[in-house]
Order: sequence, then C-alpha cells, then structure tokens
Amino acid sequence: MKNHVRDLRGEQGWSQADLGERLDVSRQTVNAIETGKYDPSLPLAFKIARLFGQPIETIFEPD
Amino acid sequence: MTAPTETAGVDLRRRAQARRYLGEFLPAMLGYVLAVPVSLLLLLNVPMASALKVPVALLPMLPALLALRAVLRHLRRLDELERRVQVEAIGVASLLVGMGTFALGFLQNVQLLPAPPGLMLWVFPAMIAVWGVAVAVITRRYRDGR
Repeated sequence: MKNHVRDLRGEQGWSQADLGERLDVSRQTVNAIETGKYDPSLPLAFKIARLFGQPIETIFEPD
Repeated sequence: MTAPTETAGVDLRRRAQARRYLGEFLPAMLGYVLAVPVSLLLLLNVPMASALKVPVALLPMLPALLALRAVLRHLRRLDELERRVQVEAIGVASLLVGMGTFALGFLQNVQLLPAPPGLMLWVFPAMIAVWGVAVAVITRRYRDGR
C-alpha cells in the first residue's frame, strides 16, 4: 500500500525514532512502513491515524 | 521539543529491550555452561542408580529452559515487524536444519555416514546458527539501504 506517513511525520518535525517511540515500534519498522516495504497491522494503522488525527483512509491507500 | 529517543544513532527502545533480554538470557546460559560439566562429573564419578542417571544427564536442560523462556519473553516484547522477521527466520531455520538432518539420516541408515554419540546435540546449535543468518537475510528485505 502507499502511505503518507513520511509527509505527516515531517509536518510534525519528528524523526523516525521519535515516531517509533510514540507508536511503540522500532525506528526500522517506521522506516519499513514509510518506504512501503511493510504494511502495518490494523491496530498499528489505527494507532498511526489517531496519532496524526486523520482518517485511516487518508493515510493509507491501495496501490 | 522531540523526545530524546536516539543516542549516537542507537534506538533507546532497542537498547532497553536488549538489556532486559540479556539480563534474563545470560544468567541462564551461565547456568547451562556450569551444569554441563557438573552433570558429566556426577555421571562419571558418582555411583548412582540407573533411574537417577536420566535426571542428572538432563540437568543442563533446566537452565536451557530458562534461556528459552528469556528468548520467548523477548519475542513477545518485539514490535510486529521485528516479531515477523524472527518468526519467519525460525521457520526457515527449522525447515532447513530439519531437511539437513533428514538427509543425514538417510546416509546413516545405509551406513554411508558414521553416527557418533552426541551427534544430535548439534542439531539445536545448527538451528540457532541458521536462525541468525536467516534474520540478517530477511531483515534486508525491509530496509531501503539507509
């Protein structure tokens, strides 16, 4: 899936490690999500959406 | 102000996880390393009933089980991608080493390969070794060459 996590993270001025800390995942996992190499689970996707205050569908899009 | 989650490029979360894991794993491994010679010394030098020899021979399994507990607790602390990588690597290691011992079994069955005592003790270490290599290979799939 495509996602806008990197852009949203950049808007907050957070590093990948900062975002990982807020989501309780590793920096490497954040990187894998942003580069599209890993699609997060539903609970993690909802956590991301809640963190950025956006609907999940605006953050994650099918290819 | 952003949370200080990195120190010299090291993820503090990872460091804390490693500390907890090693705090449980290393004492167990130390117990294992001590239990093996103790077990052997007892079996070789102390006369004992046959029924007692089995638990004495299996003495190293007690700390080994504690080490296993440490590994399982560590797996549960990992995030979803880290856990996926580890579980996939364990699966690959199980299949590869399983197939390898299967092949060795065929050779031993027709006596093309010797079957020295203690050979089975190397199966688990072989799995651990292949597991480590598999983690490195599988992890690369999720990296972007940072």
